[in-house]
Amino acid sequence: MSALTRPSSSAAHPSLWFGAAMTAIVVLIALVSLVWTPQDPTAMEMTQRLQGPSALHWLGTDRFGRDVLSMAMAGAAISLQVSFVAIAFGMALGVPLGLFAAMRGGVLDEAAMRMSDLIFAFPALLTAIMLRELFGPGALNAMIAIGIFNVPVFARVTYGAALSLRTRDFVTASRLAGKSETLIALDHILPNVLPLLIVQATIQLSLGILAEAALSYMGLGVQPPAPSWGRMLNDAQTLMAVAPRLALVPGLCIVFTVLGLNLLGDGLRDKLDPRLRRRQA
Amino acid sequence: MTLLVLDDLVATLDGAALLRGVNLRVAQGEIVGLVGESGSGKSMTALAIMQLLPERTASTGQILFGGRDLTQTAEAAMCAIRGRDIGLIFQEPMTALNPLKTVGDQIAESFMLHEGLAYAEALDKTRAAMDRVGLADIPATRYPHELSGGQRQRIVIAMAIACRPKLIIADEPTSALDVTTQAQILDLLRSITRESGAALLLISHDLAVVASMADRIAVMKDGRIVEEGATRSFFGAMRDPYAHALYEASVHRPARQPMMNKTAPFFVAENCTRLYRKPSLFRADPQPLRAVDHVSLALSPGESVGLVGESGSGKSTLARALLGLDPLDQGTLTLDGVVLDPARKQDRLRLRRKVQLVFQDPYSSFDPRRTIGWSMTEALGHLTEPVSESDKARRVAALLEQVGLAPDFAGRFPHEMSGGQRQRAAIARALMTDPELIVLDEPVSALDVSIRARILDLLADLQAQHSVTYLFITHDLTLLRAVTDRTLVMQKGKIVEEGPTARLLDEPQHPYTQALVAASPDLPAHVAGLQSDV
Repeated sequence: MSALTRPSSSAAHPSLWFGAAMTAIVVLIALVSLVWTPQDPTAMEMTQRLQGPSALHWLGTDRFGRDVLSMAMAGAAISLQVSFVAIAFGMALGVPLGLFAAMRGGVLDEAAMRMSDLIFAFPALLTAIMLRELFGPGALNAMIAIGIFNVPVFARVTYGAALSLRTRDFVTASRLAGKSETLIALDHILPNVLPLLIVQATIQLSLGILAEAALSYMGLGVQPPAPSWGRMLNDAQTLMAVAPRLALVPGLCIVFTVLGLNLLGDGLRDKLDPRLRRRQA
Repeated sequence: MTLLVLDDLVATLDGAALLRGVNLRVAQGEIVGLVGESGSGKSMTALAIMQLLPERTASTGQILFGGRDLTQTAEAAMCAIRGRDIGLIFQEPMTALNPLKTVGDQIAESFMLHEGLAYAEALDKTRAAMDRVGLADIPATRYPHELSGGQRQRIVIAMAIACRPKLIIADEPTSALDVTTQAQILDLLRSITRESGAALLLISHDLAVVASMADRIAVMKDGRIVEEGATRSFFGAMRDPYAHALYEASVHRPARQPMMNKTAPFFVAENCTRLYRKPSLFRADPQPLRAVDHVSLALSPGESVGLVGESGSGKSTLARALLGLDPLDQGTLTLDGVVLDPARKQDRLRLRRKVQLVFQDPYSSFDPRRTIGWSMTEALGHLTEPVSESDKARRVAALLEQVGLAPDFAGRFPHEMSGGQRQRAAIARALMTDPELIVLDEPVSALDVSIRARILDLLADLQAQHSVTYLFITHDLTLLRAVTDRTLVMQKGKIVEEGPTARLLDEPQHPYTQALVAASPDLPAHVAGLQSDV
């Protein structure tokens, strides 16, 4: 039994279960939207524009007569997709960078960490604008922009934890067993940093959802006609007085998803973070 | 007159018994020593007296302090009693002090809180309190990190005695300190209680410390006091088997064959020097600290050598250098006639195959995410030829058996084992590559007394079986006498004295060795002295 799976009472982590349930709902909806939505989310029907909720359109229609429920469902898929890919990108680059810097020490690695500070100081929004100027708008640019922003986040979490881990006796023992620094990083440091990374990834996912919404809102993310929560908000802006529902639906979707992921992250941290866990005697 | 009476004190937390009926009396001006191993309930007793037991603890019984039942005292009134009538001294002075406030302000707080003094008056009294604890030349405007461990503990004592309490509770007050500092702090505690007439409840795991301090000794086990008596007659009249076992374990000397005919050394370190430079980008630190300064030593097969010194003496740095963990700035390591350069990977591997280490802290020496079996076999294939999985399992089982653990421990995780079991596993791991030398870095100082005795027996047995050489790093002179043939005394990076352990401890030549010997509590000698007095 590893520390990761050590049983602990679920009652002690209510936020974990709330967060997990909320996240599961969003993921499920996103998956369903890939194969089925009540209506085609991109189909415009001008005769049906700005309808209120009805049996046919549960959440009504927008100014082009598109089904709001279907758009929100499809938007979930886009949001999660962009966010997942971006976080995976950030981890794939950030974790090895942090590990490398912590294990090596010295000038080169100082430079690597300062470099990541530089990226950190550079807002994802600016990166996204820059990428659009270079390659034109699109979901891929949003992923890369958010992903780049995540590299230093994961590099830092890994670096900090690895620095303290590598002074522990069991790492010295491994060194005395003749293992190379690379092997020690993979065998001891990474598994012990993993819980922290999982927690951080959950939190970064929620930030990624927000960032994706913001980029789409400004037209830097997924392009029409693909539906997205951010652009739904943008479209609804001028119709706030007429149909506030059009802004409320994507807004609540974002709130629900981000809240769910944050609760999940908090719960996971309480459960997994070794610093919060009592030392077992 | 009786100052404190604990009458059938019972405390339970979530169904687990913390205290199972503690009866104890402390007279005015008396020093009572409360001894026990971890989990015996000695710290819980102190917390109960202060009415600071963990939340949700249910307790029954009486705590009469000066005739007043503290269990019936309201929290507001308790706040006035704590600090004013009962002073508390903790084990770790660094965490007991607020790092962001000057030590003077922290002592002054007691006066302002309990005696209603204005800041200026409180500071005057603070100065006096610091003088009393022997810190006359330390300005009150210092911060905790600017003081040494011993000085910090003096500050904590000054805070505890600031308002001249009737009772001082000291919970392991010297366990985090070096031997000579421990002796000074114990002297201070003794003189302060004598001079102020306060009673002292001294809580410790160390029977030697308690025997040298207390008027009366109480031994705790499983939330009960199992043996109690005046120190003078205590050791001659122990009836409880546990108290007896605790004493036996405290003075335990494992049966071992002293090295008689020494053969030629197989491991020689010559002129080893290790410098610590302040990191600087542009030029080398002109005055580096000489953590290890021209140290030479030679170890023969099968002998047991002690390396003693206080924290900061360089003994751990030397050990790391001998293990090839840190590079040497000067000097050579010779193993079996071959000069090795730890900077070269091949030499490093060669060194490690023959030189292994057992750590002080059994809690951090195993990766919490790996099984014991996995950790034990880490070296196989790296220091040795590749070994098949079934061979690995066989070797793990054989070594576990040798250190007294069942083979199924191979599949356990460190948190599923006790400290003593982990230390056994750590010893088994060190033996995996059939080393010629095992460096033991305070191998028993984190363990309870009774477990410590069994680990020492185990080490003696294994040495006889494997004819391995031990380099014992310790600050405990009693231990040194029990388990080593020869001792090196280290101070400020240099070896200042060396010789056969018995001679070195009986007739220390160097002033530093003399100070160490004088400061070390020696239980057998103390008990012998007591019994000749009776």
